[in-house]
Amino acid sequence: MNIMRCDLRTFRFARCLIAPLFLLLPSFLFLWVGVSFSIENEECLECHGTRDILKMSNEERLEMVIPTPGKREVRKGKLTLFVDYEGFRTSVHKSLKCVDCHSEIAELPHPQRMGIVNCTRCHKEIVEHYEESKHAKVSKRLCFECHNPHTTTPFRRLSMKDRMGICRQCHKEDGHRWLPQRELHFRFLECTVCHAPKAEKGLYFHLTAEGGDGKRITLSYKELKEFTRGYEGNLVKAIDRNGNGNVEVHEINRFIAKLKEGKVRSPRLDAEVLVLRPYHNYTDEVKHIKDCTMCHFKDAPFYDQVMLRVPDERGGLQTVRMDKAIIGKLPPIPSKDYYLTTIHGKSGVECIDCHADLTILREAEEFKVKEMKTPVCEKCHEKVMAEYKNSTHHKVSEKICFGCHDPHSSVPFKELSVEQRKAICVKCHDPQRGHEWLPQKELHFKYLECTMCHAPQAEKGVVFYLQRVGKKGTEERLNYEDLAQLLEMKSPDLVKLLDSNGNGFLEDKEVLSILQLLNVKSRRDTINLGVKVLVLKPSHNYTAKDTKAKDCSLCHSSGAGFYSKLIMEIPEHGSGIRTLPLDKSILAGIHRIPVTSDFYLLGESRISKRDIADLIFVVRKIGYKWLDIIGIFFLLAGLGFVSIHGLIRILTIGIRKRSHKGR
Amino acid sequence: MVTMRREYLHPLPVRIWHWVHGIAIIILVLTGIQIRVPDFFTWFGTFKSAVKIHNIFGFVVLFDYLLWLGFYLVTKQLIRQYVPTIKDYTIGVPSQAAYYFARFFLGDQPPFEPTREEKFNSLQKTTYFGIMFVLVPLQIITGVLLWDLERFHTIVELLGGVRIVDAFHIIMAYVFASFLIVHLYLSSLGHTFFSHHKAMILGYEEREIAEAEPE
Repeated sequence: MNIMRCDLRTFRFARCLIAPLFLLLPSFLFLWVGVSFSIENEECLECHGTRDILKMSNEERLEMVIPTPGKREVRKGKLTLFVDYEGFRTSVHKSLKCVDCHSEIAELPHPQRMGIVNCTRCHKEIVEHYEESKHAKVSKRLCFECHNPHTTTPFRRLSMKDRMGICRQCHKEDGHRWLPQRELHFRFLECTVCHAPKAEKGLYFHLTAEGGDGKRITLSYKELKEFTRGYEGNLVKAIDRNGNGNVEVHEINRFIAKLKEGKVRSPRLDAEVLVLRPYHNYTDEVKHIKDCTMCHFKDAPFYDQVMLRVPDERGGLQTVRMDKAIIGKLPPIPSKDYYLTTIHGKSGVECIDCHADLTILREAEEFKVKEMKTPVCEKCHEKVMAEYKNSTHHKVSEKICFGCHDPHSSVPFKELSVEQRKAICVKCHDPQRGHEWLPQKELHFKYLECTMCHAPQAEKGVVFYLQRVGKKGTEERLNYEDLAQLLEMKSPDLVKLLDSNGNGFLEDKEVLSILQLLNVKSRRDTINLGVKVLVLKPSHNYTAKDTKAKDCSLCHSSGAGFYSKLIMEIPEHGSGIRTLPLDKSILAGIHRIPVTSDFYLLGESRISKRDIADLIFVVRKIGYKWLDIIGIFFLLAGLGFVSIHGLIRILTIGIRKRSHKGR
Repeated sequence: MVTMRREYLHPLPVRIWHWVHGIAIIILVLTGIQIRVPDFFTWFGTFKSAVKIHNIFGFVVLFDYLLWLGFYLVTKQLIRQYVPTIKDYTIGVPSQAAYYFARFFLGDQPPFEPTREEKFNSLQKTTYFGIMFVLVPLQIITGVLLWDLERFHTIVELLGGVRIVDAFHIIMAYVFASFLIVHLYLSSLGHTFFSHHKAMILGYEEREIAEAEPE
């Protein structure tokens, strides 16, 4: 029988039956007793403050209390008769007297076999929640079997590890085999994030750095102390410089920059989802905790509370509110609502299609799941995998697919911008390294994706699109609405308009006549064709260093591969894009008819501002911009001759005058 | 006694050719700079308009060059005026160089006086020969090739690709710019500061001749 519940019932019973008037009398009595005969903690500690009490025999102990034969001993969990008073004085209960909780004791010695402490008197709400829980109903645990009231630390000051320690006194980690990314979940989440669905959660950031062994460690107060100089040793003050109790993104960025200057090894913010206010109704019911979308969707409750936790002088933790904008800096957790908008989600790829072991989630919620295995991409991407497996990338780095691609946010290759495509490679590779040999480096980086050179087998093409060029040379790609407005049509079928003979192929005449029409309608701005060179179909066989990638003639020749594939991108209603092949003769038109304003792909192309800066700094690395270095030498030689000759000419004016007169 | 003598050096077609050519070259250099460093210079508006102007004046130089070549071929002066002889190298170039670098400053008379039949001193002859028979034709050819890569792609490929053709064009452009600076300066080294300029406009060059006093 649950003693706590029994106790509560008695309490309620008393409240209901005895009229308030009757209640008043014992209350006064109690108060009076409390005031006049209050037992000080020191008196209790005479016996309970020393470990000797643990060594006593039962007989010896019995001599110290008033025997109550027949009274049953209550469960004590891990509590002992010894109370570590030093520990108690740092606990959240430090201001309480022993008899405040152990209220049965009115005088000393106290009776043998004390009754259970009634936590409800202070923690009424918690107990009410708890009573509803399986914990209370099935396993019938008592408050102090999980929490030691003599050493309780405020929940907010407990680290994630401490919190999990409470559960793990009884529960082992063994379960959870059904859970995808089990280790990852354990690393970042405390038990109750899932097991207490009603608990209030928040996203907690903390400062970490790279430890000696390459692992990330949370920075301690000792390591951060020197950065609090001028802020009374207070980290929160050092970070929240404007003191508004809210850490803005620039404030934390500035602090991290300071850490970097101070030789802290790659400092950064790491996040964990923590419970802010616990809820004592735990559950292991599948329908609640195995609902991945509790966290994995954009409205997950913890996004409402974004906090920063830093260590304080006393070895504890301080918490300060953080600007929510910081979330934008985080890689998103794979969320289901977002997933449904990705190409995988749209094409109906279900979680279980890749996470084959997850079948259990769909079958009557049983607990028979095997260890999660690596998802098998080649089930669908057979060709890609066959090609990739032979590549140097796979052989050397042994990267598996999702080392580069996030399957939960996959976007069709076609829809990725050059920047986004580059971002995949730049995650590991620094483009500034190893490209010193490349003429017009920044220009290449600006317009080309990595695989343009590094995947010689990829299918490349020239992509044209309609753009508006303003008076100042600003270029703006025209979308469907822009074009409809220009054409003064409500919902024009642009494909039909462009491909007037309807053969699914754009002749240059067709394109030029539309351009002419658009230019007549536009009046102010010029409408012409924008152009870019893109990988149309990627190849996953990337080159190794110093191979084909340095062959300029791959692009810089009229036989370049991409000239064989010319494509026109035509915007459609909505945000869609239709593509139509384009006649090659459009390229011939580039010079005679000003079709494109910026198609200057071939040859030693133009120099950008950045190149000039490069030239000044890297002038020693000859072989780079050699044309201009030689050219400037010519100019300097010419100028040098003129200025030296001119100078001597001025200095010798007198001599010539004299010789002239003499003649 | 000193008398002034007028020597008719530059016939009208040559003068016209010279100024058209000069202006076109200056515009080509300036547009060329904008095309090469488009981030810094916008003298001729957009990049595209700079290319357009560059192309137009490129053809001006092409036709102007043909005019010059035609004139000298018809008047049969080409070889005499422009092709240096061995004598030019053994005697002319050293003495002319010595004049420019030393004797000029002392007020000495130039070792060579231009006549209608032989306008250029040995140094000029050598330079102009290189410019007019090597550099200008090469620059015109590479320029035409770059003007329409699609049309001339077989020739461009034959020459080693766009990068090679383009490199030649750019290096030579720098040489032209450098030549232009030196040319402008040296044009002031006549009898007076402006005597060569006047000659290039009016055709006549005035120069003083020291005549023997009658005894």
